[in-house]
Amino acid sequence: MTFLLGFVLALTGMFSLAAAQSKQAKLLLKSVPAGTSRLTLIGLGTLMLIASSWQAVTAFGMGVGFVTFFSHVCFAAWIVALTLTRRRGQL
Amino acid sequence: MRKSAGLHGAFRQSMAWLHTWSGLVFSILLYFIFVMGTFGYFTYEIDRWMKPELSSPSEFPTNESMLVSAISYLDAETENTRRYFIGLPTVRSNPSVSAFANYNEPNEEGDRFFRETLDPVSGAPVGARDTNGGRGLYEMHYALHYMPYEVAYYTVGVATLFMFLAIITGIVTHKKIFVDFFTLRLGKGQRSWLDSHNMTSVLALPFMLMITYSGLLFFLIQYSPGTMFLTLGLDREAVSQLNSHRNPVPEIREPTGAAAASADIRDMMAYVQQQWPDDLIRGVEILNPGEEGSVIRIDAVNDGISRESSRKSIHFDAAGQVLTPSLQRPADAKFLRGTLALHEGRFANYWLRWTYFLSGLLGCSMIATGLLLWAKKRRTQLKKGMEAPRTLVFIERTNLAIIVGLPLGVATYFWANRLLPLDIPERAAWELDMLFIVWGLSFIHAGARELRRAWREQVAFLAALCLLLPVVNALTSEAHLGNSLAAGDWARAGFDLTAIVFGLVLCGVWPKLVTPNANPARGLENLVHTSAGISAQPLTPQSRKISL
Repeated sequence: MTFLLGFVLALTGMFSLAAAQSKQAKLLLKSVPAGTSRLTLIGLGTLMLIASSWQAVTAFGMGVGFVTFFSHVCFAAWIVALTLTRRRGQL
Repeated sequence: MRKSAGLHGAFRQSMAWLHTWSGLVFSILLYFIFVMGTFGYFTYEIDRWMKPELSSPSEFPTNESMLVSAISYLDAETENTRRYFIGLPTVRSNPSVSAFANYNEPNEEGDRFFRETLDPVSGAPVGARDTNGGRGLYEMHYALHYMPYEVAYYTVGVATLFMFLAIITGIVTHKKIFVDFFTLRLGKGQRSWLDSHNMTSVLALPFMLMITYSGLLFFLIQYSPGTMFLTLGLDREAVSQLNSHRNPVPEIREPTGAAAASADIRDMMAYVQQQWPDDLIRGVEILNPGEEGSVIRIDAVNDGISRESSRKSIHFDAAGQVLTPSLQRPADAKFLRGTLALHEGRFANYWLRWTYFLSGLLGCSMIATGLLLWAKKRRTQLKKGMEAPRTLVFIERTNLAIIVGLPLGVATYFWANRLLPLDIPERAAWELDMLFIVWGLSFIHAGARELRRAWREQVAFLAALCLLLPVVNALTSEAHLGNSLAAGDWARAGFDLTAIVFGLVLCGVWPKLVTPNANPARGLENLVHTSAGISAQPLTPQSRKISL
């Protein structure tokens, strides 16, 4: 459960960061976010990633925590990438 | 301004060239290392599946009682020994006790050591089949096979160095690393392979950097012969001191041969557990057992990277006195062991272990897509109607035998474990031989068949081997999926289930390889076309000419 929480935070963060990019936003949100919305998405994404790393370090200690955080980010990014590919109708 | 941009472009181009060639030169070896290393993350689980004779006790006796019965067993079965090692079950290891003894001199059969796997409850030998298990696969990722150890680790070291170079130059070359972070466009020929290569590399970049760099540090001393020679010369004693500095041991008296009763080992274990209450006692080593100068080392493991770097020990003398209460590794040794723990994921729980495993698979995909991309690029550079050079055709066929052939060999290794007679001599070696025989056959098959057919046939064969593995397991042992699920034995059940998942994924890929006239905008049909050297278009006599 502890592991899953960190992963969900990382996944939310990566989706927010992807949605802040105009190229990806067209596929995820069907529209490109305006200036403020874009900044909000970047802020939210960064915050979620910080929260995920903090959660991992708190739960598993500094060493294992950072390894866990990087694995969260890696696989969250994969899910985002595969979602975008699916949205393009290519998967 | 223009001059600066030109320089910038030239630099990127140089880095791209270096990236291509540093990655390509050792790609076959690197793929082998990555595949075997990836299996290494589940060494114990694979070991467990490959030894179906091992029981699955729901409750273990105490460590003390398992240890006492293992020592009694070694005392009874061996003589003239200089060392015992007893491995106790930990969370991931086999639920069995390993008893090991080194003889002072080779015995009558010429054996230098004695090894037996004991049942944790009864203390009697399990009689598990002769197999290299998961460790056989794991060891090949640095020791390779059929070659001297020294040659292997230098070869692996050079390949790792090239890989590290390829990663760094790949980062420099990638112009839009953040913009393209999530971009994977399928069905676009060469572009798709480039995207796939970028995705597998960039998204697992922390893992790739860590695994190659820590892999180089593994053999730090062996890879620094110049420094070793300049600082220590040819003084073997000095090298030995360096090793003891890295893994400190107390001064051990020469064996006198005088028999002496040892203090109760249960008290020593209690002392260790008191020192590290959160850790597990993993094993016990006894030097000069039963003699006056014997030394007992008790190892404990924890699940951290930096805290004493996984394994730590306390030494006792025969009277049970702690020999070196503050026997700590020096800082450099702690650092090195921490790095190794990171490389091998020694601290990883199951969630993290799976992410290590999946990252390893991404590494395999990175190398495979790089190989396919290289061939595809050369194929698309050919002018219309031009016959492909022999080297390109050779590489396209070799790519198949590497990418699919090696997993075929590994699947055969697991089949051989169940199908080879239990009493043949050198059984464990035969299992590994089967891996290489089938891998070799995949090269012949890739060379002999029309390439597109060869891809389909090898993928179909691999899918069948994976899907039928649990069936073979059920037909040849009691440790089948039904029993292991009922017993909650997730190590064995996980192995069978993973084989099924791999088989199903391959079944999902297979139809995309078999449609020669499929819509080029969809699916993985370009993989076949890439390898066959045909662009994503309906087959024409001309395209056939190009491909073969």
